[in-house]
Amino acid sequence: MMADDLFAPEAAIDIRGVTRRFGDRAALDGVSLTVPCGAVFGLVGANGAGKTTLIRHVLGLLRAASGSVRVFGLDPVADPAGVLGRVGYLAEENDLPGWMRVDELLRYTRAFYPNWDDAYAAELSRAFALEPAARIKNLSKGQKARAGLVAALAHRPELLVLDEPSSGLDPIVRRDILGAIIHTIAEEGRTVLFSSHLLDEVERVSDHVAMIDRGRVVFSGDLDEVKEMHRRLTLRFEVPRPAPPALAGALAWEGSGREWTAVCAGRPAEFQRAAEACGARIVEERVPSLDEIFVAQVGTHCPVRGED
Amino acid sequence: MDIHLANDGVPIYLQIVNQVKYLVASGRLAAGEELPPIRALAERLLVNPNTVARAYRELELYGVVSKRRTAGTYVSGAGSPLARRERVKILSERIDALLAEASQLDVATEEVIDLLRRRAEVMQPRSREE
Amino acid sequence: MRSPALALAWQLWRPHRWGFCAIGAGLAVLATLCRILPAASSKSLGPLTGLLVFWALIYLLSVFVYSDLSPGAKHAGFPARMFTLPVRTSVLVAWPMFYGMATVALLWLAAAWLVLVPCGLSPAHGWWPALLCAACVACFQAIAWTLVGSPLARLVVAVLVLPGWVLAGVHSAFFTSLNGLVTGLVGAIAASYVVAVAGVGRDRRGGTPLVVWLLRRLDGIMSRLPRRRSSFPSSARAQLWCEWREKGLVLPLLLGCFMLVLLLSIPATEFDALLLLRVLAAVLVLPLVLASFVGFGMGKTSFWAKDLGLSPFAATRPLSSGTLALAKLRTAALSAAAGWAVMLLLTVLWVVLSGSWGQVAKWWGLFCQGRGAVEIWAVVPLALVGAIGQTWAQLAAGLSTALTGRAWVVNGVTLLSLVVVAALTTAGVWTASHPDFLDTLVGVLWGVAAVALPAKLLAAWSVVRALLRQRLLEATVVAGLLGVWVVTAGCLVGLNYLLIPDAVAPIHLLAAGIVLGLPLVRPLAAPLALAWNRHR
Repeated sequence: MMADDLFAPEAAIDIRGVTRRFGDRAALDGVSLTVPCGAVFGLVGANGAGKTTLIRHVLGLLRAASGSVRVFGLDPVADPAGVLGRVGYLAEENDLPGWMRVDELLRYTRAFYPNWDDAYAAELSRAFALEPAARIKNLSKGQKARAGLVAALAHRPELLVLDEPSSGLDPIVRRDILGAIIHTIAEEGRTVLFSSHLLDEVERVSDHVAMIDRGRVVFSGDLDEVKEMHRRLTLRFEVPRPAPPALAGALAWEGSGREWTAVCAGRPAEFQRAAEACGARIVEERVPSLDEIFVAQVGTHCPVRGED
Repeated sequence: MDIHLANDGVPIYLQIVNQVKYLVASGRLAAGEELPPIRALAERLLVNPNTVARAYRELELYGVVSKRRTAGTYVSGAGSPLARRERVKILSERIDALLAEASQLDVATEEVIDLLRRRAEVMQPRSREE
Repeated sequence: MRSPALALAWQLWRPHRWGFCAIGAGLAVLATLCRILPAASSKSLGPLTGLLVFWALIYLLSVFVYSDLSPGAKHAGFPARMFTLPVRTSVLVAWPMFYGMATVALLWLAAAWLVLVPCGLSPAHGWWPALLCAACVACFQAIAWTLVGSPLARLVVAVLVLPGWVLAGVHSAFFTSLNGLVTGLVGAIAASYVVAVAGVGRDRRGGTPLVVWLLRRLDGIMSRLPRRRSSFPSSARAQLWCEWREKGLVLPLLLGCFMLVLLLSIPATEFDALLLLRVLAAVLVLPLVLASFVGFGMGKTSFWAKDLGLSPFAATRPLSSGTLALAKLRTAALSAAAGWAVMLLLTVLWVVLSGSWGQVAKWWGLFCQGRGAVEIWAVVPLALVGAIGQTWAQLAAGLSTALTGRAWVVNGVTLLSLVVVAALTTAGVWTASHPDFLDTLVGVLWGVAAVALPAKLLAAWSVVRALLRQRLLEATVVAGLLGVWVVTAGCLVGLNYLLIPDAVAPIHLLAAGIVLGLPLVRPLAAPLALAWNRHR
């Protein structure tokens, strides 16, 4: 785990050794994470891996049973007003009060944030074509997400937290959400934490990434570093093999006969030696996409599980 | 500037670098032309602004573009000052792929060279005009 | 399953088989008791059977209507998945309606033949209530399947129609000839079927239900009305607005509905002093009883939500749990005041319209005899403050309970309250028939009070300490809440002192009862409950 030694004094979020159980199941198991200020932090993991649980800890909706959670150095459970006033949050199950009208929602939300930006709210509402007099319960799913996004963004939060923002939404709304994230980070010093299982989105917009699997952090750190730590190797053997070889660092194999392809984690320099040791030569080597890393890290032992 | 990002493991900044190089080489970006601002390109491509900034830095390093004091990034006037070995290396990779494809399609190497010449004639005059 | 009829029957039976079995088992137990118990005490099975039949009827209604009648229900109307079945609408409607009527009729007949007749509680020819129940089910099905899309409208219509059925039943039992009754009921069933087929057919073709169309028009007009555009002076005010708009009007509206039914029933009723007294007593008690239930709803994020937990949107408001809870407590206070205002206005209207003004004036005169002017005019403000305060405390106790977000807390508190109420009622009823028991009862009550009073004060003290220590509320706000409680308790004690002669019940006993009965700990604990729910 890289997170432990990645302590930044100006961390926006600092999570240390948080463990949380729901019944027998450990939703989080000794999770430590640091989100530096100004980072776009992508949280990836399968459904039920613990992403939402982690985000709920950050917001103080769950009390850390053991370990500590600090947001801007504050405890979100002890001082919810202090933390939440600096956070913009968009939940996956967008639960805005359905009886409110869009303009009422904005009027209501603005009362909570001293630095609410009316001009920005108006600009976003116009760009998203939000009807002010429409009731939220009558909006389409995409428009609901956009309304939630305006409410989360218009006070220019120091930390934007998005829990699966684009799940179940059409590509146009997804573009709006990604655009909003990028707009947010383009302004200096703002931090974004978002969870997603659309990994190409994460790869596009985030500069830090953490992968959670069954409540544990598989890896966490700078996206480029994470990618550099992985390689997709195609090995060619002299004689056909019925099964993939044992290669140090290999996470997942696919292939048959003479050619086998593996996604490996570790030091790239060592792969050459490892391949030679098992009588093969590397015919192709490239940095895998986050998607390939995800499937390799999680896919092999990912049983069918319920939703988050 | 027309840039398409693919999700095939190639780092995004590298995709931007390669495509800008291609656009410059093919004349679709002329010398002295301004590249879009980092933030605008980031919002258009929906990528992290830092990624675009890194691609621009890389391009500046290669001498493909240069920063001017008025805070804009412009395509350099001079041709790419990349070291010859570097250039050969980049091209060799492309040629390898081309040759592999040609042998797969049963096209002789001579024919490929012929084709290369004809394509160069198509591309060259345009880049001179601009 | 060869035929649609069987398939539809299976679909109804399968998910609810345990419910049906439970009803059957309940009837079997009652039937056995009826055979075993001696004739004298078997009479007491009557209310029990009535209760069972009543609950079974409600349960069967919700089963055969295909969707629950609660306004929070997402699903409304005839299940859309059944529209794709290759069956004509008339058949699709006919079978569930037939099964519903048959089951309910069987329920009544079973109750009558197994329990009521053998115990001598019902005349042998009482088969017509079965037809009444069947017609009731058909009518409800027609309402539920026609008024698609507006769960609240369905509830309102159902609430308005249910007393109608009861009245029809009672009325016909005593006044009308059996033939007339049967004709009427069969007519009602036929009309229900026709309405249901029309409504389900419309829904099946995707037509906008009339109610939805009307509601949309109404919403359109409402949204054109001028509304406040200015911003809220503070976040606490914004939260209060949100709470009030979401839940504040429920209690006044429910009370208004009740009074409306009373007002509408004026032409059909003949008033005597006793009935008048009963109505006025009901008017006095109803807000207090309703407040306990409405309070639970006020504690939830949305009034009709089944989920007790705070929604993430509500939980991530950047306010302290104390401020959030205070918005709820303020809403409860406004609600209590508005509820009593509605109640008073409509009661005065009812008294005037029903022509009982003279009787009420006579009682007021009796009350004024031998009392000083100060005494007389003190009663009004004392009663008003006491009533609103007690209603607020009831609401706050309920909302605080639901605010914990734990079903076991809500269930536990409900059970405990039921036990206490049942114990007090039983003791009261027993004492009424055994006057010599009164002294023992008073002794026992004093004993209970001697334990409960210090326990309550101790609990309140520890809650106050926790509030201050966790900085959920400011000391002045806590003092204010305590002040409200003390003023309310004072008003109630004063009122009782003025109204109830010392000979009937000594004032210190009444005061102890008031202090114990006026919720204190739960209203105070609302911020703690919210924090417990918010940070799980």
